[in-house]
Formats: sequence, structure tokens, C-alpha cells
Amino acid sequence: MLDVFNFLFEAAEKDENIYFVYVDGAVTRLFSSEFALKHPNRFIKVGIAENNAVSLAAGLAMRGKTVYVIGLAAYMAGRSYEQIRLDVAYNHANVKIIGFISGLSSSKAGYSHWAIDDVNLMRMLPNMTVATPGTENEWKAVLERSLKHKGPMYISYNNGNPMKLSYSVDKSGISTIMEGSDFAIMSLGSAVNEANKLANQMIELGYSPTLLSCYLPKPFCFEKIEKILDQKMPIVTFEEQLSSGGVGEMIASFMAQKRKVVPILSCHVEESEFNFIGNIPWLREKTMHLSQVPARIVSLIKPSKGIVNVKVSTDKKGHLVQKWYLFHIILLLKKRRKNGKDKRYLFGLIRF
Amino acid sequence: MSDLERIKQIKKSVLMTAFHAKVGHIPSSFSCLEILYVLYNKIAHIRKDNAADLDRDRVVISKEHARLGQVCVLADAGLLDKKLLEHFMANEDAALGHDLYNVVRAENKDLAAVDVASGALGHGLSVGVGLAWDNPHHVFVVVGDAELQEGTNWEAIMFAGFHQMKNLTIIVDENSQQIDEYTPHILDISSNLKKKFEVFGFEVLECDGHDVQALEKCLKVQTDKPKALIAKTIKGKECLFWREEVGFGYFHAGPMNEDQLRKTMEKIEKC
Repeated sequence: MLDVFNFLFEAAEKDENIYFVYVDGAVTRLFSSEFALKHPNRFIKVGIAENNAVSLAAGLAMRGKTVYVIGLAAYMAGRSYEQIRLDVAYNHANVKIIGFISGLSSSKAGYSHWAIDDVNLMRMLPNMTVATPGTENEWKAVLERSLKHKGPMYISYNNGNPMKLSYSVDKSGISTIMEGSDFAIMSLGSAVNEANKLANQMIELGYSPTLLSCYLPKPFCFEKIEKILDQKMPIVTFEEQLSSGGVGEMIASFMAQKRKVVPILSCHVEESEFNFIGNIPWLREKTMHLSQVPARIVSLIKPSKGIVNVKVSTDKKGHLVQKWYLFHIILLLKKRRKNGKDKRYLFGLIRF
Repeated sequence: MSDLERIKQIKKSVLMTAFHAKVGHIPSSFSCLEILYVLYNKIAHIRKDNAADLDRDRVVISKEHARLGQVCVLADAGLLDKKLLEHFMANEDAALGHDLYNVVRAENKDLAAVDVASGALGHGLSVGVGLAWDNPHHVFVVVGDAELQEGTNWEAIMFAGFHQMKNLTIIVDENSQQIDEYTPHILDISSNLKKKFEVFGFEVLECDGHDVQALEKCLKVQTDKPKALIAKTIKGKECLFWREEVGFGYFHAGPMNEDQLRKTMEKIEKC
């Protein structure tokens, strides 16, 4: 992660107009980098003070500087929302805010530290470009873009567990990780890793998923979505954000506006009282019910394909109501192979 | 059991709880452990039978990384069931953590002694001012020195000074460290802290934050002004070897391994 940042520092070595404002606590050790030590006037350590950091950066930008503010995603977006809204977004200040430890990545630190609404909040602001790179190559592409782009930008990134998938980053803002024909998974940011696991799980079950990484939720490339709608593929959105203002909602409303409706499954952090704490896998299961997603996708795809619709009932806490483990046998129709001759039927056993 | 012995036991329970939950924030908890011990055992009138009352003294821990220390001190003082420590940051509903969900809800008797759940810095002081407003009971707010870099603190300090809220005591755990570095290397808030509080209309006292008697004496001083106690501490003085091994960031937030735990246990025993 820091290697990628070095490329920004290299750019800053050449361009004296690039400044960094560093909020304490992003756990990156960037502040002890060679650049920070060499140029203390251009690597400003503001301490634990997000609001000051953002407005200060706006002030610098108003003098023609390009300013990167580095902090924790949960606090940058939430705590400094008004500073970003007015001083940065409304003033069209050339400030790039980088929120580290995105999504549920700060797990055991609890609700206060989870960035489950930052992307949605930032998407609402005028002039704002919002980026959610899910992998290291996207992260690099986004930083390159940020250097060229004049104007406010918010970048949320999971620096704790970056994913190293190799695929070409599409300039449209939606990269295709794998292409298939049964349904499309639209993942973003810290959820790309899980979405990739899910796609592989579905391949094992005999399906052919398209996996997309939407690293630019704003401005959003609706043309690409329209193509999927034209193919009549069901869409699964996958985001470590609340549903309100999320990409799932955005696509659903786009479908309605275009009157091109396909089945949609939105996997997001479900609204709750958040009266729990846990490690990341546990939290993802608790808030996004990941283990149920394959069965829900199966029920999303047309029953005419020979798939039994599976419904799993749970009580308020998300526990299965039934006392005994349920075994649902799903009759899976194996996709026809390319030559079209091999029509195999598979019996899959899914345990809940 | 003497104070010293009890504090030793609490420190051990902090270590074991953190180890069991595979979490960190041990040095932050150690830093203000004596302060919390004195507050809950000798100063604030919080007992098991009045813990759930709305009208009683309040202790707000604004430096939320010391939550682990707080729950261990409470367990020692009999204000929190020791069994709950097993659920610290566990994968489950209503587990204890930074945020201590639901503490302000009256029906949650288990955590009644915990006053404010705050997972982000710079909130506790303003909440404390709200708790102290128009209230005959005393409110104690524990803040970290680096936490005072957040601007909201100074809005609250300005307000409390202006209204001469004599039932408010701010205790600054002045360990001069934050997650990344020594505080004076990032943004020095500690120098002239006494003067800063004084110009806002506070009565300012200073003492060694690890000295139980000195803390007790300072906190019992009666004044007509809001009070600020600057308690000089050493963050994680029991495990400084660990900082040399792993560096500042991990020392602040990371979990210990078995070997480090054993070494720290030995150091605590020798104190």
C-alpha cells in the first residue's frame, strides 16, 4: 500500500503544489516516510483534528494547491461532513480526501469506527468524485486519476487487507473481474474481496457469474449497467455500506426510471441497532448474511432453469428459527458447456 | 487488600481480558488506571445500589481507548459483573467494546455504572458539560492530552469556564503520546496546558497520575470554579519494552503475544 503511495510522493517531488494533510490515527506510518521528513512544510501533521484538517486543506486549495487529506474513513466523512460539504465540495476546492480502513475493516473497534455510510454521504455532495478502489491496482489507478482531476474527490480504501487480483482497470469506473452469463455481481470497495469469493462459490455450484468492481460510484457509469439490463441478467450489488443512498438503491432506481427491470439482490450492511462487536468474518455474516447469499442468488435466477426456490426464515436476531439444521437440496441445472452437448444435472447440498 | 495490590490485580485482569479477546489498547488503559481507580473507589459516589439512578455522580471516559481499563476497574469495584469481562470484544450481541452499546438505556442494569459510550475522541467533554448542567451532582471527565487536539473539547471548555460549572472536573491523562508519535512531535498540546485552562476560567491542579494518594488529594479539593487536574502519566510504563519491539502504532492498538504478556506480568509483579 505504501509503495503505491510513493508514486504520489514522487509526483509531489516534481510538483511543489502538491500538499499532504495528515490526520493522526490512520495507522499508515506515512508520516515517517522520506517525503514527510524531507518536506515538513508540505506534509502537514494536524494531530487528532479532522475538521481543521479539511478546512485547512480547502484553504490551501484556494491558493492553487493540490491537497491530499489522509485520515480514517469513518471520521473523515462523518465528523468533517460539514467542512467537506461547504469548504471542499461547494467551493470546488482541489482537495482529495483519503479515508483509510473502510467498511467494516475496523471490526472490533465497534460502530464508531465502522465506515458504513461514508461513501453514501460523500455521493450526495456537489462536484464530488467518489472512488472506492477494491484492489491494489485500482487504488493506483484512482491515485493517478486524482492527480489529473481538478476538484474535490473522496477515496475510501481498505488498507488493512488489500486484494491482489490482476485484471485491467476500466477507465469507465467499473472494472470487469470475470465475465459470465447468469447474473452480475456489482461490488465495491472493501466488499470486492468477499464478492470474489462469492463468485467462485457460484462457479463451483455451476453458475456463470459476471463480477464487476465499481471503483467509481460517482460519477457512475450507467451505460455499463444499461448493457447488463439489456442482457436481462439479474444483478447482485455487494457493498459494505448501509442501503440508504447506496449503489444497490441507485441501480434499482435507475432500472425503474429506464423501465428495464431485472431481478436485483442488494447485499449491504443491514440497518440495525448495531449492538454487537466482532471480528470481520463474523461481522460480515451478522450484518450482510453472507452464507445465505448463494441461496438467495439461486432464487433470483429464473425458476425455469430448474432451480428450487429456497427461503430461509430467521428470527429478529438473525438466528435460524428451526431447531435443527436444515438441509435444502437444490436441484441445479448445470450450464450447458460451450459445445452444447453436455447437459449434466447436478445435485447440490447446501447446509444452513 | 491495599490500593497498590488491587491496582496490580486490575492490571493483570486488563492483560488477561485483552489477551483472551485478542485485542490491544493495553498501554492506554494502563496510563489512566490509577485515575479510574481513584475516581470509582474514592471520589465519585457511584455504588451498586445507585448505579442505575439518573441523579448521581458521573464519570465520563472520553479517551475511549481506555475502555478496557474502565471495565476492569469497575469489575474490581463490584460495579460490573466480572463474568462480563469474558465477553469483552467477543463475537456476539451486546458484547463489551469501545462503544459499550446501550449504556445510557435504563434497562441495561449490567452496565449501569458506565455513563457514556463513546468510540470517537473529542465527544466526552461536551457530553460531560451536558450532564453537569443544572445538576447538584459532580461530573468527572477523563480526557487524553492528545485528544485535546479535537476542537470540540475547547468549545466545551470555553462553555464550562464561562458558566463557572463548579461541579465539573476534567482530568487530563497527560502521557504526551498518541497513536503515531509523541504528541509534541505532532501538535503540542501539553505545553502550557495549565495556562490554557486557567485563561478559560478553570482551577488547575497538577499531580503524578500514578500516585493514588496525590490523585485523591487533588480530586477532593473544593473550588468555586470548574476544575482541571493535569495528571502526568507514562503510557504503558509496564510494557515499554514492547514499544521498542513493535513501534508506536502497534503499541497503541495492537494485541500482545504470549511472550510479551508474560514479560509484562513480571514487570507488574515487580512494581
